[in-house]
Amino acid sequence: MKTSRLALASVATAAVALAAVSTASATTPPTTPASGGSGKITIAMVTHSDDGIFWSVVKKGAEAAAKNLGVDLKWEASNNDSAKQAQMVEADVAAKVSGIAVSLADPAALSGPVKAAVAAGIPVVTLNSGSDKFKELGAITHVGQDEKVAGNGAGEKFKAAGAKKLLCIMQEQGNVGLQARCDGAKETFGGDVTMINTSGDADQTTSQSEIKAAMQADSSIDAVFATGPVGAVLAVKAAEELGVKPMIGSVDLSDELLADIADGKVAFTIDQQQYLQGYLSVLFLYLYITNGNTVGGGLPVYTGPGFVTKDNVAQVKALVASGTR
Amino acid sequence: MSTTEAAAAPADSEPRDERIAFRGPMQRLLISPEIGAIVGATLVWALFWATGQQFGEASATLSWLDAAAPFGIMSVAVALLMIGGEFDLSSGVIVGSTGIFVGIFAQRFMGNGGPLWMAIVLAFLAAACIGWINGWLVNRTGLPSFIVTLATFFVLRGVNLVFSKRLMNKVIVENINGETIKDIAGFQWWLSDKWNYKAASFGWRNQVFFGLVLAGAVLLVAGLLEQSLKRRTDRPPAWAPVGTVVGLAATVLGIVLAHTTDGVGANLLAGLVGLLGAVVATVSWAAWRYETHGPTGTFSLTGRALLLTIVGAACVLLAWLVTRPLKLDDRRQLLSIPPHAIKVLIGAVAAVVAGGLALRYALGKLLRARSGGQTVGALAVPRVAVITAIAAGLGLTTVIVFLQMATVQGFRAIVLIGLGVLGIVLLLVAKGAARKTSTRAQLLPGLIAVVAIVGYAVVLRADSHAVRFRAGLFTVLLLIAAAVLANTIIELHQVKRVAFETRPDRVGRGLASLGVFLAGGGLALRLLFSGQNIYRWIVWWLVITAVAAFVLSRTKWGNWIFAVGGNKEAARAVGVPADQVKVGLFVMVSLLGCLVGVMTALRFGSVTAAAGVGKEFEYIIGAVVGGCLMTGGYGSVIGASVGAMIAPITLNGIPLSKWNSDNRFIFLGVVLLAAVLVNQKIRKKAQEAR
Repeated sequence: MKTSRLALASVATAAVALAAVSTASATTPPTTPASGGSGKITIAMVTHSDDGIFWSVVKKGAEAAAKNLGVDLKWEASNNDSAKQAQMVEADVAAKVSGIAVSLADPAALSGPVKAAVAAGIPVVTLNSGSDKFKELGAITHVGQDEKVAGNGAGEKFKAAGAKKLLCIMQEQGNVGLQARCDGAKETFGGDVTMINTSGDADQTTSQSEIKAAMQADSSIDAVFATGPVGAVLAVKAAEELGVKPMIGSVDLSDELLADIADGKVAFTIDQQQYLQGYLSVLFLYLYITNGNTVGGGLPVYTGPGFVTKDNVAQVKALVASGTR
Repeated sequence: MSTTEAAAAPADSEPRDERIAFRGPMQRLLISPEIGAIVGATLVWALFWATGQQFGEASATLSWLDAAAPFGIMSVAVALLMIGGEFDLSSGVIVGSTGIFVGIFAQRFMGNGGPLWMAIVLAFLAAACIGWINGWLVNRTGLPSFIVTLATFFVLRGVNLVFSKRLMNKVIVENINGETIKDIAGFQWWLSDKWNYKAASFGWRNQVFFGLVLAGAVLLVAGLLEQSLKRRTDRPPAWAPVGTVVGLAATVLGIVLAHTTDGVGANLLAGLVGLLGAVVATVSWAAWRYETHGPTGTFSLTGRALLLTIVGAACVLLAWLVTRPLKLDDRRQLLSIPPHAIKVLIGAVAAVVAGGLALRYALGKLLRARSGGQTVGALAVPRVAVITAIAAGLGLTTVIVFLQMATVQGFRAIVLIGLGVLGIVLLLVAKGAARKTSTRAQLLPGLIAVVAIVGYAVVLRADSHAVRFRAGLFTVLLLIAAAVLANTIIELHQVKRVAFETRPDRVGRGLASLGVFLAGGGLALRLLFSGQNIYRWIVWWLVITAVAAFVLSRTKWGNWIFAVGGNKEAARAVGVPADQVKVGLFVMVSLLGCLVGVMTALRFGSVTAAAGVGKEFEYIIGAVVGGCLMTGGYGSVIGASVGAMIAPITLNGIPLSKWNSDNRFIFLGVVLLAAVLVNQKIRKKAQEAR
């Protein structure tokens, strides 16, 4: 099976070259790099990226890997439009790229094109979202952070610090990922956990008062897990108004949050290390295409949780400024 | 409490123009647009006050006031615009846009940031331009403002994202604080800072508060009496002045005693002294100053008044009986308590009751139509069946959903408060209905209501281990009972005024306003010296509401706003500069949005690209709950200001009461719908009654 796939892959690579030559003269625009003609590997990274700060770091990681490995990277961002993302994958299959890295933000919309890619012999790695679906679709592995595992990590941190009662703040009601973070924290925390929804980042005033109310309602709360950086900063402010000092943890990075960590007001934040998601997807595809390696043994490869605490915050701050964290 | 002054008018008076018909102070309050918001906010507040242990404290109060302030400012602005007949869907996003603009300008202009004053001035100019464009497009194209401002909304939302990403490289603009913006301090003092006075720095805080509230209540009562009773011309009875002074002294003594003693018996005694003192004082004052006549009619009740009295009394009794076996601190899910059969039974009873009521209503309507000689089609009977089935289904679903969500504690609070308050309200309505037949007939429901309220107060106090129930709620309920009792006695023998009289009306209004002002001032003092943070924008909110209310009711611009909202062409025909008024309103909304945006940015030091998105509907809801019509030409800014409190009260009350916050939107939706319905219903009733 493996050898035949490898053979298929090299045939595919050759086909890319042919396709590049033939399509370049045809009606479609020459999206495939001309260097494909020299047998160079082309990897398409098709994400639901909105080109925000988060994805710009993923892109930097992918670009660094492509440069180091000498492959061509085709970065395609659908800006949260799953239909568009599906079309992009289909186009890449038609263009016979060497490998596809895809984020499964909407598995239902993408499963068809991804299966088609696998059927066409193009290796696929999923990144960022899709840890529970990648196997079913025939992808080699998944590179990302499982929200639940991230929550587990936070729960352990709180438990290790001796906290007894945890308040988990979700800034978006009904968001699957945020709920999974809270559930994950509850799993490993062991103690009593209260979860609240807040009005979210669009309304910091109301959110702060809601967080304050929840803390005030139960004076035994000694740990707060905010599932986003804005919520964590608001939790710091709410705690200051109430004159209490719970241990506060968060997910993802922001300037204010890093400043609060440096000041010791926030104990930690969980970094997805999304740079790895870009870098490793390209690397894994490259290793598979050139050497037939599969990573993960059928399990996803976790890029997080990486913890940012007072100890490494200065270093992380510098890396954030250079755009790789 | 009495809504039927006009009904007591002599039958032989010549028919008048209904627009200048006399209305008593209560009736005026009931037909005012803000009544739904006031009732809604009060009920929601009372619910959380009863269920959340810390909800009534200064800290929690300032917390929800803080959340309500920006919301209230925008609801006032949106209410003015809606009265002027337009919507602004960009009113939410502009809060974010201006904040982002100020943050970026102050940090990135010319490389390392421009002066903050320039950023703020430019933000206001830009906001004014956006408002002007909105208004100009609406005037010029005649398109609905809904569409035009939706376009502005999308554009601004996109601009927020594009600029914060391009210039700050992320979806949040941060570091709007003293470290990166040097000249921020002066602006923060005005816009985002807070007061915090130690509770201990003003030792007489509580005494001054009680003194001011008491003085305010006295003035309010005097003002209401002045507006609804007829001045006497003959000599008053000798006991009247004595009774007034003695009664007032007893009231003060009772309240002071209730707050300085802590035993249940002593409290009860003090409460009774205060209650009777207040009644004696009010009745004596009324006899001293106003004309009396002998009671009329019989004491017996008939028809609707009788039915309402019985149902009301039953509700109060039921509220007491149902909650006896349930424990106050039982936090178990209600669904987990009774055996399955009982739940099914409760659901079935609810379904039958709801279905039955709907059947009765639909059948009644059908029969009325038939007896009125209308042809009732063959579809009528199936329609009645469908209505009944839907009502039964709704009743069942509501009960099941309720059982699913509520804890024993919550259920208990809801029944005790909901059913108890409903019963008392029904008794008061019965009293009003009985008043229509004779002054004597209202005595019985009035007295039952007094007994019910006193009993309710005693039950609630004995029921709770929270300190505030022992003193605060007890006092409030006893005061209400005293007011009802005094009202019952006064209605028995006092002559009501049935026509406008300029001087007493003005004096009465002045007294009542002064009373409200004093009581409000007392509350403000108490909050100010609570040792908690009071953010500046709460003051901005109060000032903006006051200015807007003044402009709307006392100036020609207010008339213009009502006129263009009611009928733009007609307004233009009588010389109102309709286009300018509309543009002005749009600009005003944008400017206030900018004010809130700048205040938020300086306060939190960061603005996300999503800031304010979706809030525009909440502003509109605040205005609608506050009595603004979606069609324009009618509404109130005070109502909008109060309506804007409902969501923050709810969103703060739910975590404080430790309810599951997943339910909050269900709760909020029901509350908002109920407030609007109450608004509509009461206004309709009050207008019918005049």
